[in-house]
Formats: sequence, structure tokens, C-alpha cells
Amino acid sequence: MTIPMQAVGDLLLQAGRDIIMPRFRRLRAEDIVEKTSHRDLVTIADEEAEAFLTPRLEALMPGSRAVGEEAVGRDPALLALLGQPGLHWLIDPIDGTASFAVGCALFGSMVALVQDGDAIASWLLDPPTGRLYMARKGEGAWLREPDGEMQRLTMPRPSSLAHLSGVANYGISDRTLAMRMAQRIDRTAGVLNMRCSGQEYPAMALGQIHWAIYGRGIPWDHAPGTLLISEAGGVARRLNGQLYRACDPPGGSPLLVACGEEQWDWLKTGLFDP
Amino acid sequence: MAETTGRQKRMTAVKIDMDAVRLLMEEAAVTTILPYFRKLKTGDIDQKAGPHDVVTVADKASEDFLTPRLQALIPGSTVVGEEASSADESIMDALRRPGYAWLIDPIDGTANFAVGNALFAVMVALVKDGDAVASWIYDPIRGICAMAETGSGAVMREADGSTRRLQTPKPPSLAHLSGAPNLRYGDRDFAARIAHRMDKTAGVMILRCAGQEYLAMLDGHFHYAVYNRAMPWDHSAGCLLITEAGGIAKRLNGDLYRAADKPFSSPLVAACGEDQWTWLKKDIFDA
Repeated sequence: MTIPMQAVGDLLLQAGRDIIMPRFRRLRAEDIVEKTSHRDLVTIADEEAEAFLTPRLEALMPGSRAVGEEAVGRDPALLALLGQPGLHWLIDPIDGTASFAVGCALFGSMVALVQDGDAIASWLLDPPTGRLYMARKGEGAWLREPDGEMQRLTMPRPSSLAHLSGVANYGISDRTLAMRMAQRIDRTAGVLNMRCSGQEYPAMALGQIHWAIYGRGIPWDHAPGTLLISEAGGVARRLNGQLYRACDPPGGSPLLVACGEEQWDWLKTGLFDP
Repeated sequence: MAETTGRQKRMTAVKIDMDAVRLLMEEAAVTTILPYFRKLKTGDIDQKAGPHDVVTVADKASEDFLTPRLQALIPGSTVVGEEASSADESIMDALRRPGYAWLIDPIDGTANFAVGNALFAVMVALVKDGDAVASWIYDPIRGICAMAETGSGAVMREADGSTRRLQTPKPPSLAHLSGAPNLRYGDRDFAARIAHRMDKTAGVMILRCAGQEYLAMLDGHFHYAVYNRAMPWDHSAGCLLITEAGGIAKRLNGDLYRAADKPFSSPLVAACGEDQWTWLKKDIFDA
């Protein structure tokens, strides 16, 4: 199957340039709405970017159907489509909306193409810089710079737990796990937590950090990034040992992403096991 | 005590040229830091205390650039630079003596800088008799500089040259606060307790760079930060800025932060306001 890797990337860049960035630091109070609580925001830019991407992505691949974060917010039953046969576009128009809404540049835009429940291609954009990260299952992961230059991504694998730094997400829903991780975090090299998986996955793929733990595993937050990591030589597996799948329902065993199998084991043993 | 004598001794107040210091920091970034960003070679990076504590040729070059030039701005002032101090800890004693001392963090967030992540900063604080009286945090990538003078408020100078007054937003409850619980250092049970209670707050954001965390707090991107280990070059500039912007920088034992403090003391909590600091202490940090 031919996947229009560059065309999808161009669409995402266009959404970033024409829809998202013009709203950045220019939102009015009425442009920001609370969804389930004050921790769960949506802005006019999320809505407009998803509305822009949805028909255009569907038009790129005949028979494909979009599953966007905001569309699922209106109709949660849409999420079940991901477990169905066929091609689905997962869209996270703005990941890190909490940051976007307060004018912090650590947000991202992500798309994954899901076939029969698994991501087979993904795109992660840093809208402020125009840096685009792409992965194609079985073929690798790349950074496309704004000038078009492509760089193959291969994650470095540090030599011990003491050399690993990562996303210690102390807000993870399992309170015991959060406590254990904090108690032992001095065994590692440090913490970088950008409140946005769309920033954290590219930072891992670039080797700037080496691991992350996520509690909820929501498909649009994790399907694009976990493919990027797998294709850059890393691993995205739940603490119960299962590999992450785009069609997994939200929740479940916490997702531990790491730069390599050995490093995943060190982290599980050194930070998370009782 | 030396501190008391220092504060009692009368010093001639100097007029601080805020822009002169800012321009020196910009020049340090252009000539000694940015040429190395994403261009460091393996031999350009060294470990200090361990894998978690790195230094690059750019840190040293930036400090070497700033040291004589800042010193020249105030006759008789001394300089306490991070890299000089790591070679000779006694240099930090200058912060506890009367008079003017320049605190320099030539690159804060070296762990980010060294791997090509843009979350780093240059920080300078002017310390008089043990307390910061003026401070600067410069972000070379965004081209922004936060500046404060004791009693005069805090301002952000944007990349386009415009300035705006900084005033921290003050969320209405603990559940609305997000912040940076830096738990890698210090008491392990304290770390575990804080992590256990993080679900009472709105979220966590940790930038591996105190300078960027202070910039984020000044703009309301999040609302508090906790530091178990507070090196003076990491915190003097930010604590003055956050105070001048309407926030507070106080240790859990109730002492206000001072540049003259020893690095390991009661945990430092910087917050967007006095009420918010109290909520955090009561519901997150107290045993």
C-alpha cells in the first residue's frame, strides 16, 4: 500500500501554519472551553484544525475514515471504530492544549494512520518551529526539517539506569506507582516532563530523553508517538508486558516507553516493580 | 554572624544599568553559546558529579566571557560563577560577605543544551550583602529576557524589543495549580509523599532547567516549583523575579530565600502567590 507520507505532512504543516499558529497567544476568553473539567480544555484552534484535517485526510486514502479527538468528545462511540477492520486516521489537532491555551509553546499536532487496529504510519508536528517527525511501520522514523532536509532517527541507548532521563509523570493515575517512581527517581539522570506527549515522543526519538510513563494510553495521544519510537529502535510496552496498540481502550496497564528493550527492563525493575 | 555584620554595614548604592547587563548576556549567547547548540562534539561535554550533572565547552566560554565584563560594571564587585565555584567551592563565600557579588549561571539547563533541546537559559543576579537586588533570565532561543530590581517590579523584554510588566496569575484553588516538583534530590520520603498527592493538583511540568521553570511561572504557564537542592546561581535570579512579579520564594520552614543560603536547606517552594504557597504547604508538602 502506498501511503502519501509527504502529502499528509504537508497538510499537517498547513494546519499548523494557517490555523493553529495565528491563534497562538491571541486566544480570547471565549475561545477556550472546559470539556469535562478545568484540566480538560478545548480551544477554537483545536476545533478548526480538526475540521480542516478531517475531510482532507479522508480524501487522501479512499475508504479511510477519520477519528478525531474532538469528534470523539462529541460521540465517544467513534473510538470503537479503531478496533474495526479498515483504515482510520487518528487526529490530535492540538496535544498539550493546556499549554497552548496559556501561551506556552510546548504543544504539538499529531496524526496516525491505523490499519486493522495498529498504527502503520504517523506524523508529529511542532507547530512553532515546523519540525515534522514521521514514521512508517517497518521502514523507519525521520525528522523533516522546515527546509525539507530529512534525517533518519535512531535512538541512542545509554549504558545504565543512572544515565537515563525521562518523563516521570507524577500525575499518573496509579498513586502507588507515582510514589514509588518519585522515591527512586534519584537512581536516574533526571526528569523532563513537558505536559504534552506530542513534544515528549519527538524528544525521545531525538535522544534528548530516554523514557516516559503514561497512565491513560488514550489513542490519539499515543498511537503516533509509539510508532515513532518503535521505528526509531525503541519499545512501547505496558508494564504488564503487552505491546501498545492503537485500538487498545483508554486505561489499562501503564504504558512504559523506552529507547531499547534492555533500558525498558532496567526502568521496570529499578523504578516501577514493587 | 557574618551575615548580620554584612547587612549592618552601609554600602554606597550603585545605579544598575539593567540593559547593559542584558546586552552582555545576549552577546555571550551569540558568541559563546549558540555556535555550539546542536553542534557539540563528544569531547565538548564533560560530567561533573555524575551522568546527571554535565558541563560543556559553551558553559565555560560563556562564564569566561561574562566574568570580567560584569565585574567591570561595578568597581569592587566580585563574581561567583557556577563553573568557577565547582572548581573551588570557597568562591561561594563571597555571597555571605558584605558588598556586591555577581552570580552567573552561564548555561542553566546544560542537560538540555547538551542534547540539542532548546530549554536552557542564561542567568545573572546582582547580590548585595547576601540578597539579590537585580536579576536577569535570558532565553537565547526565544530572544526574551526577564528582568527585575528589588522594589521596582519585574518586566519581560520580548524579542522585538517591546517590554511588558510581569504579574503572576493566581488560580483560585489547589486543584487549579500545576507545577514543577523537582524530586531528584533530597529526602526520598518527601519525594514520595509529594508524588502521592499530585492528583490534588492540575498537573506536572518539569523542564530540567530552573531558569525555564521561572520563566514559565512568570508567564503563568504553571504556578509553582519545588527545589530540594537550591544552588545560588540556579535560584537567586528567579526568586527575585517571582517575588517582584507578585509571587513568593520561601522555604518550607518559613524562611524567605536568600542568595547567601547554603545549597541544602529546607526545600524551596516558589509559587505565584502567598495563598497558593500556603495551600501547597498544607495539602501537598506537610507530613
